Amino acid sequence: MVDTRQRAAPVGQAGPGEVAGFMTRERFIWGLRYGEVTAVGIGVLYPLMRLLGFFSIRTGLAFLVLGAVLLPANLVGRRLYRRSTHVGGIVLLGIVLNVFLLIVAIHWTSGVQSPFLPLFAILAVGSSVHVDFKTSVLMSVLAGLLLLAMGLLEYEGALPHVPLFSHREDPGLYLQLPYVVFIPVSLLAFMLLVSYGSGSLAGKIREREIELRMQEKERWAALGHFSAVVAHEIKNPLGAIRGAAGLLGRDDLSAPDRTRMSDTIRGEVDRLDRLVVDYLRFARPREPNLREVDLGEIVRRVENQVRMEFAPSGVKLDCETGGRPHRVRADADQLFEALLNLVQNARQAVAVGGRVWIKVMPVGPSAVALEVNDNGPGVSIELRRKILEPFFTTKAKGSGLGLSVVKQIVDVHGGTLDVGEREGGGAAFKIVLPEEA
Amino acid sequence: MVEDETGLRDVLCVLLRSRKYEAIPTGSVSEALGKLEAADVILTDLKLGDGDGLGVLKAVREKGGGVPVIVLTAFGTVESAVEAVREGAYDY
Repeated sequence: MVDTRQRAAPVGQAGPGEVAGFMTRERFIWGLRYGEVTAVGIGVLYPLMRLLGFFSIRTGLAFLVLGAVLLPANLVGRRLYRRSTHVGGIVLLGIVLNVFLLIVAIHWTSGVQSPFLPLFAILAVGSSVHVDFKTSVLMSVLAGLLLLAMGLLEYEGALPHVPLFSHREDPGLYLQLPYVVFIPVSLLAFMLLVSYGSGSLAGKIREREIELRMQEKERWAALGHFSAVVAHEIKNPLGAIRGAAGLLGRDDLSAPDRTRMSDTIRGEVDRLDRLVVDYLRFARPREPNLREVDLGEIVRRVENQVRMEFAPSGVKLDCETGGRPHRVRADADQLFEALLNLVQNARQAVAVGGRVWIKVMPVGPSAVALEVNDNGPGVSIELRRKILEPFFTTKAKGSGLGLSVVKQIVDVHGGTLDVGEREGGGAAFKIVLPEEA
Repeated sequence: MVEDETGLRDVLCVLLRSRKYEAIPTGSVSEALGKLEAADVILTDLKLGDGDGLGVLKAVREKGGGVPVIVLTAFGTVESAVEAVREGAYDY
């Protein structure tokens, strides 16, 4: 997994690529919104705590003033941010302001003993999720140092201590140096921990978002391919049918040509029909009829089927099924179709005099591989994933469904399909299926 | 006639014959190149199984023949038309 926190753009700069740029901007705005949430939190918490007997009226009023400053400051910051080009500065200013005002609030609620200390976690989560981890660390350090300074000033008596309870005795932690140091340090550690946790969780979510977006993009691209392929595959037979029908309407056509043209129409209509059946089969695959199948048997069926095709093209086919049967739970017809597809593809990929190998061999104790290798030009690394996508074809003519049907079949059998390079050059397609005990 | 779609090839050949032309059907670039001498004019599809119509055109020009070549396609683009004419196609 790529660490998004490190990938995040520096404050005020667009991230790499449009998507990242967009998300960075959104994150800044969210960072400022967190400040608003904190401000509203303080404003709402005060009356509630006053009811419970916390604070003096004086502290409470100061508190409301603080909330009243914090909220508009964040709102103005967000407006400014939307308009300004110096966004980094505004975000940093916003964070410093929020931390500073929160420290003031904490001073008014009994300093290092304040129950509001955990509010820093909201700021930490906000900045690490919506800005970046680095900014969050900076903010945590700032908060820790300010709290330490405040605690020391109260300890020394330079700053008056404001007790939290108006009617209860103060525990007096601010008078003990170990607490004055320990509490800011623990706050810093806590903020860093929260920043790290929420930042990496957000990174994962963001990555998933990008992945989903890419998938959608790919789906549209596949639809584009699909349209182009369908248009091509349909337009050609339609052209032939139109031409043949036009010729049949002429009186001067000879009897043999007349027969020929009506045969052409029939042939092209059959072809269109097959095309529709192919597409439908891809769109709504048949449930596999699983039973125990020997892969060697499948290889022999494919071998018999393609012998006639291989002979005129001068391509040599070698089959190696190993000494013993390799049993898998599978739909024999679907596996046959998958292997046939791979073998026909291999034959088309090699030149006259080329070679194609089919191999069955065990992979570890509980899996078996079905390999189709050829000594053709091979598949470039960039294309290895693409060629398995539906409607993608490198051939001048083809539905682009062959390999995606193979992938679909392998998937429903709980297997894997890998495209690689044969040792010595050429393509290597490898189906791995779980073997029956 | 260079066209790898059998149906379309048959229709075009019958059409030519009905207009009193003799048509030699070929289904690939390599097959067409073997029969170049017999042709007075070459009609070729753009997308062929083992190459394309522009390849036929180039091969004809390289052999120094002045045989007119007409490129046929259902998927014409300005780019391929310009290239065909630049390579000396008679029509596109």
